[in-house]
Amino acid sequence: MHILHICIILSLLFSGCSKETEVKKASSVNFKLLTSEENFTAGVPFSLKFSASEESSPVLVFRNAVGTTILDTSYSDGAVQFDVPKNFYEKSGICYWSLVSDAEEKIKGTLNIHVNNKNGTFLESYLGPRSLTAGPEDYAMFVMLATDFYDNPLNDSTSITSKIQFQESQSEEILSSKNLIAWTRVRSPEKSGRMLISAACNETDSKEFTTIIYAANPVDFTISYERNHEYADGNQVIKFKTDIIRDTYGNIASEGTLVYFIITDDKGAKLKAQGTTLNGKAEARLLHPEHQASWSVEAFVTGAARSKPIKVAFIASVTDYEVTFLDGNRTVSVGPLKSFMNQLVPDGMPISLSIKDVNGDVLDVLRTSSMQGEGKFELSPDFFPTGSYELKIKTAGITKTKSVELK
Amino acid sequence: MKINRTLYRIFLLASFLALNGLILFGISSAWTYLNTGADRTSMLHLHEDISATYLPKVQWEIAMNEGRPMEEQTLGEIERDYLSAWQVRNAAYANNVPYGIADYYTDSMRTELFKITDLNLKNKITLQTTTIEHHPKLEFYSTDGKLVVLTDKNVLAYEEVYQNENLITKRKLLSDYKVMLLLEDGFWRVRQLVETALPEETLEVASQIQNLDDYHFKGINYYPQDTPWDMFGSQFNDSIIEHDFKLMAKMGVNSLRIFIPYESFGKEYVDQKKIEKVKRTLDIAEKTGLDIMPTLFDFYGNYSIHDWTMTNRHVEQVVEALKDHNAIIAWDVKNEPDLDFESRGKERVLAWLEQTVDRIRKIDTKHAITIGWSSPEAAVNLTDKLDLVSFHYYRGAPEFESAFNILKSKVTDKPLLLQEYGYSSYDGIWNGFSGSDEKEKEYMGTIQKVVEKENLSHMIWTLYDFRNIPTSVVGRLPWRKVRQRHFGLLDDKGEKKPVYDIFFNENP
Repeated sequence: MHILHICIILSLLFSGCSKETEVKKASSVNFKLLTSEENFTAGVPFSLKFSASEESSPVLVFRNAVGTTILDTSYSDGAVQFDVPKNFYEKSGICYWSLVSDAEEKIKGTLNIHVNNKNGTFLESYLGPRSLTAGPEDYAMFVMLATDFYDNPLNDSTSITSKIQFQESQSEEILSSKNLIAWTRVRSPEKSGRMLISAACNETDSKEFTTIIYAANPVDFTISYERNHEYADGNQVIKFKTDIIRDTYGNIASEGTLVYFIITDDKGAKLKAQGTTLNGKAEARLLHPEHQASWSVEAFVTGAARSKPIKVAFIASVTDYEVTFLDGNRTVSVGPLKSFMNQLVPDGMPISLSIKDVNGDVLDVLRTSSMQGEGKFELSPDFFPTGSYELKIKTAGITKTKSVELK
Repeated sequence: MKINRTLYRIFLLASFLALNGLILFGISSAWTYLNTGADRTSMLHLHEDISATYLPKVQWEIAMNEGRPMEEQTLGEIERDYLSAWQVRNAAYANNVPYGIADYYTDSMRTELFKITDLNLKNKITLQTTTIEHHPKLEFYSTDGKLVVLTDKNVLAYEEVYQNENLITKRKLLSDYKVMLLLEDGFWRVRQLVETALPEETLEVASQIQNLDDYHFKGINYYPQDTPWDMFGSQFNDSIIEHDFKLMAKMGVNSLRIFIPYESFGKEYVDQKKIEKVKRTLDIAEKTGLDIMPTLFDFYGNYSIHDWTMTNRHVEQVVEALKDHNAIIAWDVKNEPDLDFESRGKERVLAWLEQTVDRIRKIDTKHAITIGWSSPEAAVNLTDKLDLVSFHYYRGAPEFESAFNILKSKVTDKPLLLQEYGYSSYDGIWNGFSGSDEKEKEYMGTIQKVVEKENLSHMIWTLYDFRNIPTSVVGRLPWRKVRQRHFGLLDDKGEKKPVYDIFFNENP
């Protein structure tokens, strides 16, 4: 009795542990496609019907470009029916189905879902670049993607109209789509301004695109100057300005175009001033020099255009001045500095004093600027012991040299 | 009494030392543990090179496109992002988690994908998909460089459809697509993906495969004696190989089977230096009149669909480099893949083999393809895909004839090859001194009788007794390793073992 029990328990244990054996059923169910239609329209629900030779529960593997899914059966009057899900019947293109029953593909096929033109058209358009320079070399590209209500691109050879408005002119061009899209080049006109672009397809209009036509590169221009007087007083401001800078087509250069004025004086030194254009004109200002000078001025729009050089001459405003020595020559007083109408020069005229010893070595250069037409230097005995020195005073372009004995 | 006290002392001292040792060990383990983990450099978030994991074959059709002329740099970026779009899509359908979709599909396109992942998640449907070939052609590139349209023809894909983790169907797919991509946030994103007309069926090229019906393999599975399982490594020495090849040619051998490991050959980026070594080996073989059957994918064991594009790149480079060599007689796709049926799944392994055979056939239309099945029973798999049916036999010698006859009755239209067989003459402590050179001779003699009766092509395992067996071959266990060392026709000093006479008795 006991042995029998043990045997039963053991055999139960073993059978519980054994691997489930897979029995492959050779199924003999035959299926036939009842749906004769192979072409469908996107957005219109449809189902596939099959007749089965006997009761079975097949599944339908359904695939389109986006992905694959499995459809479960629903039965209707004896036939096996598969309802295609919404996201599959809304997507146009080729679909593949295969009917699988008992792990065996029974029957397979393809069907075609066509674009639905009835529920309206959507138009997606892309324009770029969004700014152009005037003239026929530059262009933007306008790309249109027309889709149906379900975002399926319309078939090739759909006509799409692109419309362009620029100032008084309006134009239309009928394009034919190819490889999902239609496209055209929008050539830049010769005038600067705003160009409006839109598209239309099957009574649907796209939004409006704007592309701004900027002036092309400027061409060479001329410059002039304005000043209060011709004296080199180091105080007044001279103003350089350009005439209206334009491109080849006569468009005024874009606002803010940077213009450099390069000034070369008679010693070859260079000065630079810059300005940006407003209504095509740029201005730059510089202080008058402190001494007689002759300037040559040229203006540049870097990499694009330049002006003809002009000459500006300044005549000396201070023709002479006095130097007085006090306190055993240790206080050097310069001035009064008098300008062209014998008025005292404005405060701030730079004055320099260089001190050389008897060997001709420069010991120091002292600088100051005029105040009330005068400048003063103190030569401290701590720095300059008693002895003879050569002093050189320079201001307003006039140099005076004097040998002195410091006490 | 005194002894007792001494014993106590010893015990106390020993336990004290042991306790201290344990405490020190514990502290040091804790210390080591706290010092493991993140590297300090990881704080810097340095750029890491991410190696590509999806490399289907991409052949651009170069033609003038409409719009702006394409720059090479941009084309590379488009290809990278377009393939990534396929990869994230495949990954998303594999578990219905749409990770990464947002990077490679525009808003309107990704909602379409999400609808399917949602539907499949609800119905517990998963897909294992990979694309094998792409043939894109650029149709249009916009002036502002932000929009392209391309057609991708004959996209070869493989798909397995699962419901509740049961395989419903698997199939190969061939499709033509029109794709529109937009440059958004630095990614080329798919805006439209439309499947166009059904691809034309490509006509089967008339078979030029070399017929091996009349070729009688009298061969050896070859490894140099000092570098078994590492023939093309750093110790590669062509003078040893030349010596061995001449020896074997003199013995009357006409063919050799050599092994090309997957990983040490560089996986998807094949190491050209090693290929050069293989070529040199083939040159020597040609010179000595031996035909070579290279076995690919040695030590490979993944087979996963996501790995296909990588193994395809590997096989492409290897086969392309060697196929025109006169010494090649056939390709052996994989050594004993049926041993992986249990751990990797039979379907998965077979699917991988099948597509790899297709891949090789596409590159090399000439040479026969075989798979080295581990037993006559396994050799019935995929016979219609192969040009030569190979099997190995290491079981009892008396049962060989019946096992072979079963296979022969099942495979009638393809030549058969006993691709590996042999017996270890190991005699030592691990098998209780039960082996001997005579047993080897007896075993091989029994099988050889059948082989000769059936005029069966055969390749012996192996030429030499090896001195060292790498751990990766049979594991660490010493009784496995020593056994593996004694399969040779020649012993470790290069002297003929008794078994030698069975094969080459006519040549003294």
